[in-house]
Amino acid sequence: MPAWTRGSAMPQKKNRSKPSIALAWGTGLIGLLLILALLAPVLASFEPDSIDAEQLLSPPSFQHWMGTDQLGRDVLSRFLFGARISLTVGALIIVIAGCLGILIGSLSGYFGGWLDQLLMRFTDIMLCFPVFFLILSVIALIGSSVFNIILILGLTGWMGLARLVRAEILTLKNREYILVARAYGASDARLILRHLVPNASAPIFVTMILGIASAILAESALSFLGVGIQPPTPSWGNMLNDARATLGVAWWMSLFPGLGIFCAILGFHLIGEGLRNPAGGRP
Amino acid sequence: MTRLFEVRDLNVMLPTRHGPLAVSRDISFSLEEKQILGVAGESGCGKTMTMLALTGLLPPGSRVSWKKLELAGRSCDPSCRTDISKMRDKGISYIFQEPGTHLNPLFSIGEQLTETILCNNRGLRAKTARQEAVRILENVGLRPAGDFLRRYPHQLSGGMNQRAMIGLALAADPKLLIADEPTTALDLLTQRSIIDLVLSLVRTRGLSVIWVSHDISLMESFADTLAVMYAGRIVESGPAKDMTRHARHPYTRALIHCLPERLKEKRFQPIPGHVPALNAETRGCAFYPRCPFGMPACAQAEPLTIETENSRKIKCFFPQNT
Amino acid sequence: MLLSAEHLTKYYPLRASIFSRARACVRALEDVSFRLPEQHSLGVMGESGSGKTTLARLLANLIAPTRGTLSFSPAISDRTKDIQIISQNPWEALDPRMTIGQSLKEPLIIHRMNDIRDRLRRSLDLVGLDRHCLNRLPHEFSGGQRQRIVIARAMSCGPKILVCDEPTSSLDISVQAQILNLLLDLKEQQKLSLIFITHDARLLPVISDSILVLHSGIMVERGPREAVLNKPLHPYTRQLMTLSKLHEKPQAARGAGGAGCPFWQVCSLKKTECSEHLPEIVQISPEHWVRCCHFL
Repeated sequence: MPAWTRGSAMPQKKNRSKPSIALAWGTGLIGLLLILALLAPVLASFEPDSIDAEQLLSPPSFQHWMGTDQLGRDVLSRFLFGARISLTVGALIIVIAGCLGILIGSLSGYFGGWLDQLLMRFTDIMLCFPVFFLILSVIALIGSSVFNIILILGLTGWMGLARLVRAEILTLKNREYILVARAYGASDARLILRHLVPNASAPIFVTMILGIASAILAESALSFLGVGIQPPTPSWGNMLNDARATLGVAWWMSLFPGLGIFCAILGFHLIGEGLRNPAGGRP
Repeated sequence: MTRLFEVRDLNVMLPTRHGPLAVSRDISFSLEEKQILGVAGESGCGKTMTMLALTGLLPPGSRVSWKKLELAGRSCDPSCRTDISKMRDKGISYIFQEPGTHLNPLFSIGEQLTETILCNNRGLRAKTARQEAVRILENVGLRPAGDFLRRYPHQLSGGMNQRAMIGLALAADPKLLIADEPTTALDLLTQRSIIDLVLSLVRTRGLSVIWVSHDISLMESFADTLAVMYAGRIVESGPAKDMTRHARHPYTRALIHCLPERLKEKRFQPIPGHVPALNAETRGCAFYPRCPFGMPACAQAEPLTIETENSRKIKCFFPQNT
Repeated sequence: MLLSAEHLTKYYPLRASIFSRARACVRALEDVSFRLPEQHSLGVMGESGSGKTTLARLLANLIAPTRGTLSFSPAISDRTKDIQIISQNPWEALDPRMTIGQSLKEPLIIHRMNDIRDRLRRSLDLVGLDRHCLNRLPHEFSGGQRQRIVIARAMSCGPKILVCDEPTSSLDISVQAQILNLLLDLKEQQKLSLIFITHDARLLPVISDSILVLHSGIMVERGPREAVLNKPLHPYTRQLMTLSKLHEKPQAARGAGGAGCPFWQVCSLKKTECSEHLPEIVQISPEHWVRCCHFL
């Protein structure tokens, strides 16, 4: 049996499976929230706006697992339907922001020249702009329905993705297979849609996952301030707003929606990090 | 000519997802002073891994074993726990294939040279180190040396960068230089000038060189001995000119017949089949599936290395006669 | 005459930013002319910096020449279909996210061919690949197999000209031999014309019917294969031919840019005017041209 020695002067790396733990936990958390949201009508024993006049502001009990709020509504039911709203709104916001970001980023990166300068300066302006005040002003003008919230947050959340897509496309567009495809007659649209964007999909996907977390946070912030989702439609944000008045007394009103927001953001971040570092390197 | 370097039965194991993978098996060769050994083989034959093993530059988790490993009379004991890199410190230098990527782009040539000189001669004054750097640059043909001290790798051509890398290798004052495909990425004229430089260094400094390349016809012109590798094993070795003119192992023969100079009816003569993956476990000879002279015995057991006159070694049951 | 290139020139301007005027230019190609008949292979010999990649891109219609024209016979109706390019790097020539079948079908879809299945099968047969590879991804194949797939994709549209930009320089010798045999077979059976760009002069005797030698963007010699190989006229060509047989020792350094002949600094036959201006191209025999002061 030959004696083996180490072939490398460099120290051996430790166990590298930590990032995949992140992915597992993240998927678990978000999966759980998704199931809760999907099965909200089944799991909720009460309607989210049905009033139980005898149990105003009651702590968690067997009847109301998460207690009731100041109007006697079951917090658990509101939590579950609020999950629906928050998750859906977050996803739709990122769909709009994603489409805009990919469009602007790919046009900018692919064509370059004056179009690139124009689009990137526009992106810079949007990034420097106090977007929050823009959102507040627009909401004051057109009102704060669910649709408007999704639209506003989507139209102001694409800039980071646009920059990322542009950077990826700049790297990819001089790859051999792109040049050869151009030589055999592929149109610009085909190159962008079928070759460039799919090959950039890994970092795009990670950014969009993290973007859902930001979107949920943004919506919750607006709802908390009263300019987001309007009651009686439950959203974790406006549940926190309702809980403000009775913070010291009714801890259950703020804890559960807060926990919901926390778990959603944590879960998406864990998934994003887990996807980003499958084995210590970029995806 | 004294024996400078000898290795016997070197084995290299790389860690993979599916367990340890043997990339080199039973590598044995020796080198005299001022001698050039050419190691030829196609990609995937394990030649780079073998060379990295001799200098401790393998990826983390690799394992190396040998029966004998000796440089300039000092032996490396396989059972001791110290790294093989200690052997490198005793006088082996390495130059790589693409010089542009193996030089630090943030530092000038002069800074990299003086750093290497200082690392190998502790206690030397910075001024002396710089003078030594100038001397080395002149030795490798980068003149005026003062100019090149200040230049950065991206400002130099491939040939100049390779000369700079040779200079870095010389700064460690090696007895053995391992050159891993140093001219593959360079033009024909530049290639020839780098080969001439190495040849002159062998003459003036008494260096020995192991030159790794896939271009067997290139090495025939300047190497003293040749070793041909296939699937992690040395299948034939011997004096260079003798081997290329009278190759006896079927793989060496087939490789030489692939060359553009050996056409048959205006067509090339490729080797049928493809190189086996390193993790393909074979019982017999690794080349048997592609060998035009294979016999059933070849599939049963791995051939032993036959030694013939004028120090030829062939790892084949039925070596071809000329 | 399938293709006729007259005085092809390409300069790349060096700009500080898009708002400033270009002050200096990189002279990638200068006054390159040649003709390509049917079923003919033109070997373009050029080392790094010779402009061969620029020439390949000009022929593939990826960039436009600064000056000069490329004219085609009526047999070449659509440049994107009848001229195909095989590039150097088989690892990068296929979209890593598309299956082989998708990659092979793409040019057929773009050019609206109707018998896609048949054409796919035929192009796979041409290069000796199995139908089972259609559902696999590029990373499952070796370099040589990938180059075959690239050739199959190029042949699927039935091109008349194949521009090969160093197609075997990143492959092993045995694989190189297979691919070169394949290209030679295709040239004969499919009546192709080849423009084979290489830096390895040893391939020229087999792969080319006529040879064009590039140095620093300038065409220094062009002629039939036998003439250029056995009786090279230009000093650079002579140096290349002797080096490829590795007989003599050459000069070490290479020529630099400037106004005159790019080779003058290391030329053993240089005259005083060589550093000042570029000599005109002179026709030595019906097919043999050279650009050197000694032939004026």
